[in-house]
Amino acid sequence: MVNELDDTIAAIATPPGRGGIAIIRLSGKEAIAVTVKFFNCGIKIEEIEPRRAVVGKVIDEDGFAIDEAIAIFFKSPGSYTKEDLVEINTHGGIYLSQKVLELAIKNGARLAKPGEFTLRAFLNGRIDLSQAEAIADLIQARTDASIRASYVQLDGRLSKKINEISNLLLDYCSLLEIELDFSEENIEFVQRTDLIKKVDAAKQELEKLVATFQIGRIAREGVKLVITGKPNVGKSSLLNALIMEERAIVTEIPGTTRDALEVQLDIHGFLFRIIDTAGIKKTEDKIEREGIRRAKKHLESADVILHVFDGSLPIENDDKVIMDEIDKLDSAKVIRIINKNDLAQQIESKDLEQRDTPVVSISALQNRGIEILDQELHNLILNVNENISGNEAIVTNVRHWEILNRVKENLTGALREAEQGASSEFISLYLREALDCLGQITGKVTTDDILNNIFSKFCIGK
Amino acid sequence: MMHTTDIYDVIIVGGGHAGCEAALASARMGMKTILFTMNISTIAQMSCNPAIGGLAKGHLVRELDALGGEMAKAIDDEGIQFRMLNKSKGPAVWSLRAQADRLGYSVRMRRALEGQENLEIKQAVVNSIIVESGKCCGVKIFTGTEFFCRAVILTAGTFLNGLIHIGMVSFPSGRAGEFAVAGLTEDLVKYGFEALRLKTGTPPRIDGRSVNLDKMTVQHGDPDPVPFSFQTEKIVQDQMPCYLTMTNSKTHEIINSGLDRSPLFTGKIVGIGPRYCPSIETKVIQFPEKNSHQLFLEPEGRNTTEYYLNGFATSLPEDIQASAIQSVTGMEHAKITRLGYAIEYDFFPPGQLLPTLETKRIENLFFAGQINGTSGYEEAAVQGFMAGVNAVLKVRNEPPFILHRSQAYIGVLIDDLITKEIYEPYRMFTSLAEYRLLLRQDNADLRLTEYGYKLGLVPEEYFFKVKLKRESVHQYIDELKKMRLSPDKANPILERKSSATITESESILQLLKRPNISIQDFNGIIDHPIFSSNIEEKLKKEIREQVEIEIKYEGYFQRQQEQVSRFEKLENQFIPDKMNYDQIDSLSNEAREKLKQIRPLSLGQASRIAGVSPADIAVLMVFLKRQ
Repeated sequence: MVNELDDTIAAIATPPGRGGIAIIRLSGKEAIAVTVKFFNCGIKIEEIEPRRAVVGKVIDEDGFAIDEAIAIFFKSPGSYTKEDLVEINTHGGIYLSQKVLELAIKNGARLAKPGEFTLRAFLNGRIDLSQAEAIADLIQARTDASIRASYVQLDGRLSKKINEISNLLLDYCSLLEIELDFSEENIEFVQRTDLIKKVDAAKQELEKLVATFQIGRIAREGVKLVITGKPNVGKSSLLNALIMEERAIVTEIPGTTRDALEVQLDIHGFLFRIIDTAGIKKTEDKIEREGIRRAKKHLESADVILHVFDGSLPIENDDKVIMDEIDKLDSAKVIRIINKNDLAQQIESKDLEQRDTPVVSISALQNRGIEILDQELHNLILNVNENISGNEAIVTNVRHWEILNRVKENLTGALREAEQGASSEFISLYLREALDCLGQITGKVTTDDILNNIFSKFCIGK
Repeated sequence: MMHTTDIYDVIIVGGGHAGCEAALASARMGMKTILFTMNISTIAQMSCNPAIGGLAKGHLVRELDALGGEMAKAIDDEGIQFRMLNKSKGPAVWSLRAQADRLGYSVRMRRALEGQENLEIKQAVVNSIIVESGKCCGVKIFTGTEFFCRAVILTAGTFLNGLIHIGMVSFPSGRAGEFAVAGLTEDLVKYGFEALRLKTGTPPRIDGRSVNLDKMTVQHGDPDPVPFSFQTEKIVQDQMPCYLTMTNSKTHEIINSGLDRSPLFTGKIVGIGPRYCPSIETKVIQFPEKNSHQLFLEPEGRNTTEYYLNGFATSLPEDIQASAIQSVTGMEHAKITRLGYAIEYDFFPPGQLLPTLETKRIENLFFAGQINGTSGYEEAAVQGFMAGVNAVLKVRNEPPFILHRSQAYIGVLIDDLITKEIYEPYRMFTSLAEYRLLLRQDNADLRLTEYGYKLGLVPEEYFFKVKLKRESVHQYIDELKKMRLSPDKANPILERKSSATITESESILQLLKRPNISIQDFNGIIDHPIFSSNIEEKLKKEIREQVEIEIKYEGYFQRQQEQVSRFEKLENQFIPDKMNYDQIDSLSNEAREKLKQIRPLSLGQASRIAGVSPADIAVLMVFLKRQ
């Protein structure tokens, strides 16, 4: 598909990396409407003042505020692109900026193509003629590079998988088109049950692929490591020990860390996003409860969980509640940590040993045992790495992910039509759109491809 | 050198399906028109299959009819069997097909030409065109006489250097029993046109007295035949049946034994044939696992016993043709009246044309029909019509008439021709029309009659009828939206149709959206003209049909309409004639070469050229906006 000109586009405007802030930019008719769907600043859309910084919360799809951010709204034509434009300044970090971008897309924006903001700026007369020449070169260089990159980036396994799906859809499109264009021929037509079975299988493959975006995310954004435990077991001290700098607030008053704190750390050349969460316990404090709710939410999306116990105290009910909570999650790897081994110990390793969950005894305050934890983390990374470089195809690119989601929707449509016994052209309507979408990853799939497929496989022509 | 003192507006070279529509359109638009044909007795001859329409082709005929063409009316008069195909599918892919009386059709079309004011017919071979300062201004015929004009339309069919093959025998011919044309291709190549070779074939004709039809499966037409033309009220003539039989392993054995004398498989034929219409020998070789293929005996006409053996196109030698056919059930004693043959002919790759079918190389010269690499009477006819109309508009210095892919199959066909590379004879398929749910044969009149009227090719009275039809459809849908039906009235009907009953009153529109519920189910119980049980008049039937289709498939149509809107955005960004692609460094080399060769008129067309990437389109867009 070529560029559309009047939809709303979004992209991360700041260079990738770990800068202090990141800017996510949206441009187009719906830019402001899309933004206010996930950026809550308490101002009505019609009362937003252009060119003024507005503080608000970025709300994720589950309704959680994931960041406090600043947005600047520009009204057409007073913007870089001469369209309505929004710049959202978030805290830095790949994860957060990607997340905000994903929110923008989920709420109706389209991922901008390389150079597209500049292109619009030019098309709308913002940039003068002499600049256009240079931009044209730029766009060409960058789109070419990016198209090639996104094709090459498709490593063997993913492109193989996508090609398999694409070929299957092509086959079924051909079978449907035969029914329409060659119904007078003496050809046995495709059984609907067979079509439904195969397309449904393709859809499930796609769902798996779309889900691997999570694993792909690890490769791209790092391992999400969540530190949890009841209050005052030394979670923040552990974080500090890990990063060896005083960043989290460490106090002895239970419940100090009310919100989650994120630190990015390079361990053995692999990116870790370490999230220190509020202690989990029963509480009446409203703010504290909110922190606990978020902590649980973080656990759900964690790749690795460090569950911290206070070795100077016996195992309490609050510890068990958290253990149960973690047991419910099947995805994350867990390391149990007995902290405060500088004090008299009331918990022993064997109390916590369970299947393949490692237990590490440390003193976060005295920096004791941290190297053992480090080693355990290293082992985990090797595991994660194996997952990434294993035999599974993984989606790592937001554009691919976006396309595969659209393919999935179209397959859902095709299945619905087939199950309702609709005529082939209606099933084909969806299958061909799915093929068109896949074509944006693998290269154009044209009607000629469908016809070629028909002529090579079926005896047509009376 | 002799030349006529008359100066014509438009000269048409060729009297086939393209030539006839071109000549009629031109003359009907008031132009002084002359049509040259090599043989007046074979005007509008069906060279191959005695049938008009078929899947997707039926759409073309209806569109042509809505625009004011002749083909639909001619086949309505001369059809001997009518069938609506794909009736088990949705309305978008229904298509009409009719067997024709071959001679009757030819005579019927000749009568139309002879009855046409402003139109002269002349039997003569045209050997060259006359060009002055880059513009075509006449033709020279075999006697050396020159005819001058303001536009020339070339519709030469398979006649240019036509070469017929039967076994290892080959001879120059434009069609069985007719001469080929030598010299015209060479004349055009002199001006820089590129010419290539294609191949097509036709099956033998059989003497009906020599076959046993009782041993075959009879195939009748529809009991209530639907006419092609929107303006034909009813098909009144009797219909004739076709007969179905099958080849067998013995037939295939015989065919295999003749392959050493097959011009197709010994490399004698160089032109590329259509894959969708393979010869029987190709089918046998490519699909050895199939031990039987369908053969249809189609009557050649009312006044002859000859049958056309559909499914048996061949260029095998005479003895093999004869014995292979005699191995087929019911044809044990079959006698061939005319042998099957393959024909190679010159065509001009249509990338050399503008969307008006005018050549890019020489102004006022138009190409239409099989010389553009298409196959099929319908494909030829619509091109002839479009070339005729555009030649007239060019002469009159008026804006061209171009149909988009989103408007008509005709638009799809011409855009494909001028944009894609043609490797084999091109025929229409519904799968080629991206927006086929909207481009239905049932709404061709609603889509296109207004254009025909504005061109002066559709009578005002009929145009008003279509207008009334459109307005009634809209009005009725609005009315049905508002009308509700109570459970006690609706449920007996719903039960009878095994559809879920309702507990509260429901809008009729919603009920009609159910797959097995139709307007006629409510006949008599709702007080509205559309539910009248005795609708006889064709127009009223058509209105009811439209209302039903629009309601039932509304969701799908909306989805397609969205696709159309996306498509039109790019389609409406035009690329100027004089675009210098060499100046644009950022284009990829492949894209630059293709763009220079095709010279697309819009970004949309550019995006459909193989080798032009989305990145190239972005670059083009930047340059366009700068203009």
